[in-house]
Amino acid sequence: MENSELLSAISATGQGDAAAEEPVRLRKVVLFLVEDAVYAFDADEVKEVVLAGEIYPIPFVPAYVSGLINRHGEPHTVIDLKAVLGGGRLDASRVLIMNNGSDQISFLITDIDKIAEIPEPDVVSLPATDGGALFKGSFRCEGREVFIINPQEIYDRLGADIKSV
Amino acid sequence: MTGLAPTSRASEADFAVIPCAGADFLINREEILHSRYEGEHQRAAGRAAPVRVMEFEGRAIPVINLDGHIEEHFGMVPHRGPGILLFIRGSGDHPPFPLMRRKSDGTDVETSRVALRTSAMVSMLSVGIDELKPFPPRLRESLAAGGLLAVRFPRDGGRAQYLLDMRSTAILCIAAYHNRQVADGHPDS
Repeated sequence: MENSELLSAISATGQGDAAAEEPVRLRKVVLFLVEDAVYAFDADEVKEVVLAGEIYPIPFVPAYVSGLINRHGEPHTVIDLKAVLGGGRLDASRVLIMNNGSDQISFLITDIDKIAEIPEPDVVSLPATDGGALFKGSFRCEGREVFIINPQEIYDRLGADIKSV
Repeated sequence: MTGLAPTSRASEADFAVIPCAGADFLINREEILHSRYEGEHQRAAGRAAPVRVMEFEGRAIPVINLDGHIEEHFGMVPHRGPGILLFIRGSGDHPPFPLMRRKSDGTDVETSRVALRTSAMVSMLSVGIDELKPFPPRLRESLAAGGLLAVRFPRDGGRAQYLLDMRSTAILCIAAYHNRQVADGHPDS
């Protein structure tokens, strides 16, 4: 084998190794509790977690809208995730303020669990019949099945539901 | 008259404040044509009715139970004071006012002027326009249709103040009253 052939062979081997060693993509998620159940949002969709303070009731909205909170003088809609998921009203005092432009939406939660990075291949897609629109997928974490909530689906649902209130 | 006189500077507006347990309600002073304390005979004439009719300057005009409206939709009860009637402009603009007819004799009720009754301790407040915040975009249209225009969170940490549109509130109350009457088999007011 001449040197040029040897170099080609070495290069090819190196490329193969690089492909084999490409790191698994990680997905950063915020895990949180709604009572005892654990759910997640993709981390880039959450701006901050805060104590809700006073939640002011508002009429003419769907039942899963708890009301408004005051964030630096700006009103933010508080959506009760337990009610969205069909489980009744959540008695809690923390909210996740969402990163959704000017929509000013937050979700009422029981508490933050943790922020985690999970391997992308570990996330399993859900069929539409199993809440596929509401959930982006699910993964196993410390023996628990965690559903990743699709907030856009809830925003769209609010936009549709509020017209029929 | 109750002396709800304007006091604001150019960047401010004057509001009548209806204090309730949990939040306050603001009414644009410009919406109020005039106001007066309620007389004993008027107080006796169905304080709890959602809509009733009263004689005013020789005409029969509707009286909206504002306290009942706030209690029904917000679950809040105004702090009690002497009954006050706030008179606003009614029909003649858009959206149109629902028609009202007296149950007793079938005559039309004059809706060019409408009174809203509250037993709250109404006071006046000047507020910077920039302190009033529109509702989050996805709620805005629905709340405006229900007579809610904006909210203020006072900088001193006080409770929320909702800006009410009186005309929309009156229309909503009269329409809801009509619907209830029809449902009960009594289509007239």
